[in-house]
Amino acid sequence: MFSLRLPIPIENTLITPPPKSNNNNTYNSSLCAHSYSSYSHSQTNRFLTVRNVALQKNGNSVGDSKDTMMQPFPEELNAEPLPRHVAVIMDGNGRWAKMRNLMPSAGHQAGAEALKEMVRLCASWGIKVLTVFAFSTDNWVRPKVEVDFLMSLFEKTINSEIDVFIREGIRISVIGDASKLPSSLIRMIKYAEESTKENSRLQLIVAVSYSGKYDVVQACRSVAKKVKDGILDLEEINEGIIEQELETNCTEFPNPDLLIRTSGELRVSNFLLWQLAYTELYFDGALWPDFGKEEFVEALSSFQQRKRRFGGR
Amino acid sequence: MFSLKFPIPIENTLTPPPKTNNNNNNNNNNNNYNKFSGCSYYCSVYANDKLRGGIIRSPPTSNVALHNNEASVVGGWPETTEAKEEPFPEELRAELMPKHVAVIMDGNRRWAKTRGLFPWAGHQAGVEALKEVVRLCCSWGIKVLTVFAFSSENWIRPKVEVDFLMSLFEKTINSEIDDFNREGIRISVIGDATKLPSSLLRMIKYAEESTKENSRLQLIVAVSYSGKYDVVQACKSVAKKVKDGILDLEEINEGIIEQELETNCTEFPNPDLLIRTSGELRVSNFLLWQLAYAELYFNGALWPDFGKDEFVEALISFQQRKRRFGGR
Repeated sequence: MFSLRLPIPIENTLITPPPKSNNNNTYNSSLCAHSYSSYSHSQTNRFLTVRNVALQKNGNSVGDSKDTMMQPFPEELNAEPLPRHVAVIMDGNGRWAKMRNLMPSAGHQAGAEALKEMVRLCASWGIKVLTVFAFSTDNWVRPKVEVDFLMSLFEKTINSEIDVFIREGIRISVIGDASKLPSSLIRMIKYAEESTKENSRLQLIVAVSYSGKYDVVQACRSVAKKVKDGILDLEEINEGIIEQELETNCTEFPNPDLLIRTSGELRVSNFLLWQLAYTELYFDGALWPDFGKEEFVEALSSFQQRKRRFGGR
Repeated sequence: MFSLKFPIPIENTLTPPPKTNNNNNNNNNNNNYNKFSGCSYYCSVYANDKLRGGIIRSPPTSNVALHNNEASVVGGWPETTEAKEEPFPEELRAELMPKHVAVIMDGNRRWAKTRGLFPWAGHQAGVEALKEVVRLCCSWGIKVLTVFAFSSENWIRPKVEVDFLMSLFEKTINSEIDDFNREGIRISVIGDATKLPSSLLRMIKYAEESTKENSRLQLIVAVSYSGKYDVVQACKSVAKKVKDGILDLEEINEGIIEQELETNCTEFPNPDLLIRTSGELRVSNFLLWQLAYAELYFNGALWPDFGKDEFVEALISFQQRKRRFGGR
């Protein structure tokens, strides 16, 4: 089976983290220098937790200060095993905003900030692929004003992050049904994918207008077309053939080792269905804008305690 | 979505159980149950008809009495007929019951290991737990129960264990057919039949044929199954239809795929609730497509220890979920 052919490597694939600074304040104060300064945080040298967000108008992006991109590897975690591919269902933006009597758009904006932090941590700690569920095929039923805002937010965020991605070695890929997206967003996506395609430190896969079922359907269509065109025999259709056609074929590591879902719901909501066959699932009650380094470390720590058997003993 | 279209009936559709006993009298039967430490609490259920939901489960005893390291199979339903129908738990609401429950029955071997037993004793005990869950589903109006009995990936396990499991499936199906017919249970088996022993295949065909008219509960047993296998075989069927000119490429959509999945044997192919026992948090290549919107419930109990208490907790949890299917 596919997942059995890819044993999870136990060797440390991390880029050697920078020597730990004795002066943690360097990290904290420099983090405060940009958009995170508006987040309240505890006085101790604990991980930042995001609370009452007052977003800055210019929405500074991750890594404005070069020092802040690298986050030291947490002491609580072992160097191995680390998930090679982490997937996230970023749930809870709407509820986060509602609790603060804000419009859903404010929640999505805060969610974008949480995502930037997540990208930064993954890049720092040697995770190779981060796939995030930004917009489902099922989300098109939401109010038009919210959908339009989200499309605009995606475009703006991609645009503001491209330079950082190029500088930090992050490759961006977008999966999903592009036919429904505004053309300006499609152009931005193409530009970003092209600009960052040589980067290899971290691959950020953003699922927009995506669903697991959509992915399987389009893969099946591709396979059926190959059979119809005589390129493929019926008997040759197997798991590997399907996998090559899934939209996660944009990465060398298509199957998440760890799936994180925030906001407490216990379901996968039509995300990567095929790819999640042997993924370790982790559910956190925090709403997505509140999911930060502390919560991510807990998720990784949980992953490190899992016993993965892939059907065997 | 599927579960929203079908209100759960609240009228009692149960037929009264027959009053005659089977071969053994009650005392002997209780002794047989005692052979499984995991079944010690079944005795309290059957003996005390005043018990309601929330049975206090006795902890597994260390002195399991097994003959020749084999637990004897007590086939069929319990002897006290008044215990067959389990009253609907007070904690649950009839209109919020899941239509289709799926279970990854994990933990048999660990259960056996903690008792110093061979793995097959765990599988045997697991069968008893399954019978109990079937009984509860019947009693409480659940329409479909799908259980992950053997995965495509389980073929790599030691041959002696695999052979035992194949034999256990055959023996259990054989011993249950009469009860299924009496209780209105339809059995279906999904999975890659090409790898199964021919005697098991024959038993499966016979059981499916015998019970196909039953409509109270459909028990779907996944043997030599995996979610990926299911999608691959569906894709092959679709590709063949396109090749044969029966279907156009543009017509391929979610509905077309779903018709080809092996869960097309039921009117309700998508579980509302997936339960996984033994504490692992993954779906292990079970119904991948079909679990898109299932509520997931993970329980730390090992499968042979999963009983009414645990099932009620799972259902309570389900009934508190807010299902949005992508909307607000």
